[in-house]
Amino acid sequence: MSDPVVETQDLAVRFGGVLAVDHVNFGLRERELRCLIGPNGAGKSTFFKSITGQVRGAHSSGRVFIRGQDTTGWSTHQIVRLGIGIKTQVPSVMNGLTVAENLWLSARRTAGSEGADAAVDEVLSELELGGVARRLVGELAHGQRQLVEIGTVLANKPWLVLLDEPAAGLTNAETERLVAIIKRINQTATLIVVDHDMHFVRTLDSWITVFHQGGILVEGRADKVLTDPSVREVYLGNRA
Amino acid sequence: MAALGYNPSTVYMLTFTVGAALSGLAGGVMAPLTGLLPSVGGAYIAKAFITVITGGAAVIAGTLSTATLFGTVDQIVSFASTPVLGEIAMLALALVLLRLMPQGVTGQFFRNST
Amino acid sequence: MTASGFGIGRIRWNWLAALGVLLAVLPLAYETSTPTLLAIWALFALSLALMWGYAGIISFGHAAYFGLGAYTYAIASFNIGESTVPFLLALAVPALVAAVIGAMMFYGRISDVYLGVTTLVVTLILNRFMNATAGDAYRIGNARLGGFNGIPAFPTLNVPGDPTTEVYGTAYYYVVVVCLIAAYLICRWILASSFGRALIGIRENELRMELLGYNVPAYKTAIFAVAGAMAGLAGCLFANWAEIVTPSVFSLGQTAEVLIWVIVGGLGTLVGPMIAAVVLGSLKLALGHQTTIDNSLILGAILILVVLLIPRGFAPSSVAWRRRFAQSQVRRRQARGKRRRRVALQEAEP
Repeated sequence: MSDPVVETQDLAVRFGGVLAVDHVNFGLRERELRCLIGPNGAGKSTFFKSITGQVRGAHSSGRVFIRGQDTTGWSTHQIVRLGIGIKTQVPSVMNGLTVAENLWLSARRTAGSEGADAAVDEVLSELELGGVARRLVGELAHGQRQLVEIGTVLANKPWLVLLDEPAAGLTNAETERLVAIIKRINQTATLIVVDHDMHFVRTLDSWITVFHQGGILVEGRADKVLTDPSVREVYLGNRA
Repeated sequence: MAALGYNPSTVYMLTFTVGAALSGLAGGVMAPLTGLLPSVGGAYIAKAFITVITGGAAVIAGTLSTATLFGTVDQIVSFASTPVLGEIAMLALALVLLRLMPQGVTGQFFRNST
Repeated sequence: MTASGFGIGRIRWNWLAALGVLLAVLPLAYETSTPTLLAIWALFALSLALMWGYAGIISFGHAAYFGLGAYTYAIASFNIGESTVPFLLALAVPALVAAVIGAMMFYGRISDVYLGVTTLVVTLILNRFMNATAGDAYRIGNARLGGFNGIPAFPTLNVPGDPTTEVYGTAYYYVVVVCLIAAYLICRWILASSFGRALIGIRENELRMELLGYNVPAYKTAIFAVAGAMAGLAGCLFANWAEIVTPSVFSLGQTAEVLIWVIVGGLGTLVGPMIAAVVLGSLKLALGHQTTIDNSLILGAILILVVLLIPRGFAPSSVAWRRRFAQSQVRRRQARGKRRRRVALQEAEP
């Protein structure tokens, strides 16, 4: 792989007796959109958290590189400051603040206090959240809250965006909208998306990495991977 | 829990009552040893609180381990020097434990015990 | 983002001015000893209100910094004689200690109840230690720590540069009031800044703030140190008021009182806890004079009633009442408007 922007070398994560991530070598190119899929417990989220710095220290071995920089063992906020946006599996927003305030806190770090308002307006219009800008996030419906979280991820203009289950709990219409948003982000940024929703993954039509029992089972273009018999077998019982 | 059909308020009330009863028992056991004053409870509030929290999530294993640990350290240091230093040593130990084990003793060891 | 975002209202300058005038003329009608003490307690409450209400950091041992401020002033003024440096030290030492302990706690990811216990332990250590420092062996420079009895008769505040002109009585009252108002304005300034906004974000969701690139432990340590400095200022002013410092400044009772003031006044506001400190403080002093009912009983009862009936404290409730009142006014006006329009329509019809 020529100059990967995200790379792991022999990454392993062990919790007690369980090897959650089994010596994974992963590479991601600039401006790629990659989906990580796999059954529950396959290690996708743990792998994801190793890249974001949420899992590190005694539990893990191997190395993580982001744009050539060795970020193994770095704390989350240090990694984020390299220009990375992260959306977690469990929605993580400031429920007691308004949508605009949430976005402002994100934008302010890169745009400064003066430029933050403009950046907030940009995100509000792009995600069509203008109508709820002054509403408290805790009062919004789940789908809108997911969208707000994605907004906070985008507001500080990251070059690498990591989304963990962005389609969880969304209606079909909201999922379509999400696909459009992701495609738009991909025009300027690199993305990793972890998800279970097969319809969503298929619509994204990108390269897919399939995890199974802590390791990478197969990797390739969507149409090839999703028709691969070993993938079908791993998902036995799932209506893909 | 509420979604499972339990009334949280009732559970809290019962728990608090049982806790109060246990404290009363402890006081009753101690009374002949130390004598009584209305303020006698106050001295133990802080120590009990610290012992329980440092113990961590496991009620019996946690409280038992920290109570034993703290009591022993307190008495040994008191014997070697003064009672005040004994207490301070115990408190300093609590600080160290909390720093090393932010989830309490049973958050780190004995994780699946009661 | 305007200053009225993030759940913080605008400063009501006219109210502040009115209060300033009231405080300025108070000495003409009243003695100044009690108001001085109440203002000191309000300042102490303010420090915890800032840290707990806006940054979400709970402390069961905030009296530690109050006490450190008091003792630092006493010891320093004993050794130096002139009061300017001791005054500044009384701000710096608690801030420094708070920074160290804060860093230890926040970089160690201690949170919630474990944070409360750690802060409690720190206060207890100070309390126990100070109680046991009787005898000549325990001294810092010229100052004997005095153990249980404390340090009496240290030089109190004097005009900066002139050790012979003491500041006491009414003049001291004005000094305290100025400190209180200055501290309040500093708190408002902090909250209106990006630093303050980030703290509020951290209170709401620490993980998300971390994921946005904020160094959360650094922010928490910083506000912890600021609150420590403010509490230390209150302690130093208290030492000058009482003219003696004893280990009771580190007591569990002192730390419990400030927690009660913040809870009753309203966690999440600055003004509420200050008012609660003044009201409950006056009550405690008034009750202390009579012996029919034990004053702790009354204060305990008040706390229980407040927690049961007005769980969010007085200030947020009063904001809610005002909003409901305003809304009912709006509704009444709308209804009147509708009636007028209906009448106009009826008259317009032939």
